[in-house]
Amino acid sequence: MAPIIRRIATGTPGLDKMLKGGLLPGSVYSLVGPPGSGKTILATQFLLEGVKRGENTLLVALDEAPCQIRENLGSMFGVSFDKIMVLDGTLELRKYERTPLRDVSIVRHAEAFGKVFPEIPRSADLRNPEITITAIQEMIKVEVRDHKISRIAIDSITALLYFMTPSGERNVFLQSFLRFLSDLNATTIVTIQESDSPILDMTSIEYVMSRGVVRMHRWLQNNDFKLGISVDKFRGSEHDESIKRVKITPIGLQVLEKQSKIEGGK
Amino acid sequence: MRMLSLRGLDRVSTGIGGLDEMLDGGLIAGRTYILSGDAGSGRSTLCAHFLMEGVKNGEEVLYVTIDSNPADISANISSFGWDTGKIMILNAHPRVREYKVRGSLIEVSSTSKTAAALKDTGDKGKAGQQQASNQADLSLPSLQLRIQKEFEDHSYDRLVIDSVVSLKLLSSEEISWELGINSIIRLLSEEGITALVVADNPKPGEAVRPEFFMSHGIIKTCRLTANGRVYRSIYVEKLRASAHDTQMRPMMITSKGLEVDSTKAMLPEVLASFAQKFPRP
Repeated sequence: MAPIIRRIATGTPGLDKMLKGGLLPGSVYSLVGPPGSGKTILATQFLLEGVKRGENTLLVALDEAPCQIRENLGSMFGVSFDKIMVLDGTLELRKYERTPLRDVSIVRHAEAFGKVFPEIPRSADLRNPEITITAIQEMIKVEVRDHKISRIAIDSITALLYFMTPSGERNVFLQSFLRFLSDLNATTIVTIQESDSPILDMTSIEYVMSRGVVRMHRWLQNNDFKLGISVDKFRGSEHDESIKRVKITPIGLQVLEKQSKIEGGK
Repeated sequence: MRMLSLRGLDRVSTGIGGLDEMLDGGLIAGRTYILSGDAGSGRSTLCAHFLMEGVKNGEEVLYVTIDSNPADISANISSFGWDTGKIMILNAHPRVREYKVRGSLIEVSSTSKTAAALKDTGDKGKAGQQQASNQADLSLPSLQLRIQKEFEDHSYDRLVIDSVVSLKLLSSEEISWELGINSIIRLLSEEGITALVVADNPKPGEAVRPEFFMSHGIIKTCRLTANGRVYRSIYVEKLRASAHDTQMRPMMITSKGLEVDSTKAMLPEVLASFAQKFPRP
């Protein structure tokens, strides 16, 4: 029997149940799934739960500019949403011209969603076109230190790899970045994009380096695309191994109580 | 046209009533969507509906053609009885482009002629085909620069890129596809244009493509042959900031264009074949 440790509520009660109480604190978890399966919503619910408990939380936005995320989710989650700190990690327009070396990195600071300027920043107004994985890492480090961040969501780590690392060396960067995150002592969820046919498995770096892996599923059943969720790995804890149905409602993502008629897990 | 984000989330009709219903009222304005489909599934016709709807509302619309000859596209649109006169076209068809100026990719693209009305492009397209074989291939950077150039002179409400399939196939190692396509989507977002980017359906086991998760929505069309005839279907895979239909719907090509019935299910015998592509985990 593992010793009794505090559990971190994920903000999705049905998922907490599958995790036998919640996440274990201070570790990195992967949330894998196809586009449109609810990863961003689930990750946001995790941060919101922290806000409701008076914690400081940080979203590192890499897929979409903060003002767009706020348009998408602000009405779903109400006032607590605006207290989540967000770091804009989206890339500006490529200039396709030589830039002096001193311009290669950029410094941005996180701000509360409630203070995000409602328009996407124009690249023409910004001086530095490049943002690197090292810069992102440095910015996260500063935010965590200055604001005592206890929950982090990186959305998505796929964007970070696709846009900020050389294609041949992605595994090395991924390994190093996940290691960096686990050293921060916050509880962190990283989202990972997949197409409908999963290619990540237990031997992928994402799986190996994460304390736990939650996977979103989509399948066609009776003319309707269904969403599901499973806990594929949770080191140091018991967990539910079945696939449960998921529904995205106007007030967020819910795990349905009834197990889908599919044998999941083992 | 620049959209102020303080607005509510305005909806834009796709020009296809059934599809608008599936999208819970239409596309959200100012965002970029992927239209992904099998060859022959009706993607270009869907784009034509989308652009003609804009023309009908007095909007400025731009059709960036890459994989098709503008003359063919014009003929296809006209066959539904629509007037193509108000659709502006940016002809990036690889064999037609840049037959006036030669130079580096970037110089060529920034000096290329700008968009013309679609109905005027037919003959030039044919002439260009003969002399373009020794030109450099179209690349993501040159495409971005040409669209940017176009935006300097005109403001557009709707835009279609049809399609990025060959661009991806021809993309060179030195210019990252991921960075290039991300930058183009960023450009469209910054301009506040409602855009459809046409792609092909991902193959099984293929890594996720950046344009699919960077886009604000994904509409997929399928084409299937069963019982000796062709069936088409459409579904909304993703739509950020909005509810959407989660069902697969039958789609028909008629003399008036595409018809989608958002109340009907696929025929059971056809559905079984589609369902194989999305198996239960």
